[in-house]
Amino acid sequence: MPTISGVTQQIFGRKPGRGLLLTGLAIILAFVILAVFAPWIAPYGPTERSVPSSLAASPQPPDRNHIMGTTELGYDVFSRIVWGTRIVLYVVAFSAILSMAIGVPLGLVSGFYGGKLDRILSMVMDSIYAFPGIVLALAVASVLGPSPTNAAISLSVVYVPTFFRMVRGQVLEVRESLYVEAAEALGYPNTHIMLYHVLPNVAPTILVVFGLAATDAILTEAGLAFFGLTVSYPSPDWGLDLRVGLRYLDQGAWWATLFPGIVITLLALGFALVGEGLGERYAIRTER
Amino acid sequence: MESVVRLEDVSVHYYTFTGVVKAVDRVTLDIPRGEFVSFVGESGSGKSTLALALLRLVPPPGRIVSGRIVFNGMDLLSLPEQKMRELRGKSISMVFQDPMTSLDPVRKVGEQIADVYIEHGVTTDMEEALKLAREALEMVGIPGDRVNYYPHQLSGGQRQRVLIAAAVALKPSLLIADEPTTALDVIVQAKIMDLLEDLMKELKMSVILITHDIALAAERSDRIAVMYAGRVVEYGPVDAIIENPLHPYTRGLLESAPDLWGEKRIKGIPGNPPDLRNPPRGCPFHPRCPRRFDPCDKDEPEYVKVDDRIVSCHLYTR
Ligand SMILES: Nc1ncnc2c1ncn2[C@@H]1O[C@H](COP(=O)(O)OP(=O)(O)OP(=O)(O)O)[C@@H](O)[C@H]1O
Ligand SMILES: [Mg+2]
Repeated sequence: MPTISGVTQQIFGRKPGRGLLLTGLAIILAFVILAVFAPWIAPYGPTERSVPSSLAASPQPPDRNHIMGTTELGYDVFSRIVWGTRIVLYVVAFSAILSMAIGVPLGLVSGFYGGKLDRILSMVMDSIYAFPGIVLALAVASVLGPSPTNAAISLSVVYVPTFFRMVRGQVLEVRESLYVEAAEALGYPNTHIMLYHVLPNVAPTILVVFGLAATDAILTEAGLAFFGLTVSYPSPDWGLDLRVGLRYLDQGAWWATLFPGIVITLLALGFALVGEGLGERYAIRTER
Repeated sequence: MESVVRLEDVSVHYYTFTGVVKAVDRVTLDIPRGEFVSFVGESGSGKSTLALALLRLVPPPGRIVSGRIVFNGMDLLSLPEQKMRELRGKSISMVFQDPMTSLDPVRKVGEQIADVYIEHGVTTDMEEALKLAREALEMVGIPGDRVNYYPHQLSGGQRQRVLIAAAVALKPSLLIADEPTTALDVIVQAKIMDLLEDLMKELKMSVILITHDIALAAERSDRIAVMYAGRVVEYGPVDAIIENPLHPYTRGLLESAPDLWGEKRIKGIPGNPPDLRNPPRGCPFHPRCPRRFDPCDKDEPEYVKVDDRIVSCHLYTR
């Protein structure tokens, strides 16, 4: 079984993809810090009227007190971004972990035991996979109703097949290997083969898919938020702020859309770099 | 004579998209306890399939379609899977052809041997299992401190020794070795064969060796079974077979083994083995047989007992 020091060695060791991996992790870490320490980092509350009421009727450009400007209701854009990190990370982490927790075991079992179960599962997963992610997530989220948790669940529906397909493919490959045949000839139970041969071999793949799913989840979450399917205004959420900001973009208030857009892209980039870095390290080809 | 395993009319078929491959076809024979028996035959004659059938590990789309396999008095084909799994690695073990890929590259060899003790309930303590693994390594001629090596740190011959150590760790009564030395050079090959013979005596095992090299089989075995197109065409004590092969195919194999029959020119057997999806009528060997006559392309020869040998050939059916 992999040890803690083995894992750190795996991530930080001088191997291909190290730069990508570390950059990605640094970006993600920065956002995690924002989320955890939001009350100390954000100068204002997310729905605090931070400008004198005489100015509150129109969005104000960035100045010394509001480095990213304010919205038409006088909310501080920077503070809303900081507080909004919490929702985004919650939804993204929840959906990526949930889809992994469902997709990985299903892929393992399906690839390992084959037969009828495998055929049915593959068919179901393939048909989900065939839908465009955002459309599927929107459909599921509208059925479940707006809430961050429901948004996370609808995103999971999109990514379960990705985990399933990658893991199942790897399992089929490992299952063909001679050392699995040798393990069977020594009378080892399936649990041994899963735990010692299949899982260690699919672990890097799982990490790469996790990075991909999280990247996609950030963008799709922003989409769901845009349509009001995560939180309701004025709760802070990057995607939602982007849409509200659009309303007064034509008044020249570029800051209310630009900054939320930048952080969405940046966090997505962080996860993408992690996925790419791991992919390069383990020479894993991915589709999606 | 007590047998360690007895095959009765065993057939194994692969159900492929292009047809049913009769990889093992109604094989009947007895493996005496404590003997070294080799299965010899060309590529595709069904040797590995037969070996896997003994462990009930024939992969899909293959299936054991008929027959009985009696091992130490147990009918293996009617055992529940759980019981069969307990036998594998404990009473019947197998080592495979390619020591490079038969070990998990990401785990230490000691752990991989220790697994045998843990999975078969000898101990639940990894430390204890590793100690036993160390002893098992020494038994196959590898210094015990190599338990901490990864497979890539060992040579091909050493890896095969590790696999053998795991296979004999629980002192099975039958060890099956499927071309254990084809991936290794001649000198290492001889040493591995010596090791198998030593272990056989020390642990009072029976050994089934699978090989296409009849010279190797002749040198090491007590008995030889010659396979052709899924059939065992001749089976008997090694000396008798070498001195006086009964089946024309056995003779052909011996004639293509230069070191065995002295100065004679290598002859080889003209033609190719048949397609097992659609074997020829009658004796499967008749299209290539230099001695075929009337009944060969019509009736399939039954097994005939000639002294302590069995042979399936019309030359002896009356
Ligand atoms: N998984 C499989 N699916 C379909 N056919 C198979 C499968 N495995 C083996 N066969 C067929 O069964 C027959 C016997 O194969 P087997 O591997 O037992 O022969 P072998 O004597 O061990 O050959 P070799 O010396 O090449 O190892 C061959 O015709 C082969 O094509
Ligand atoms: Mg073979």
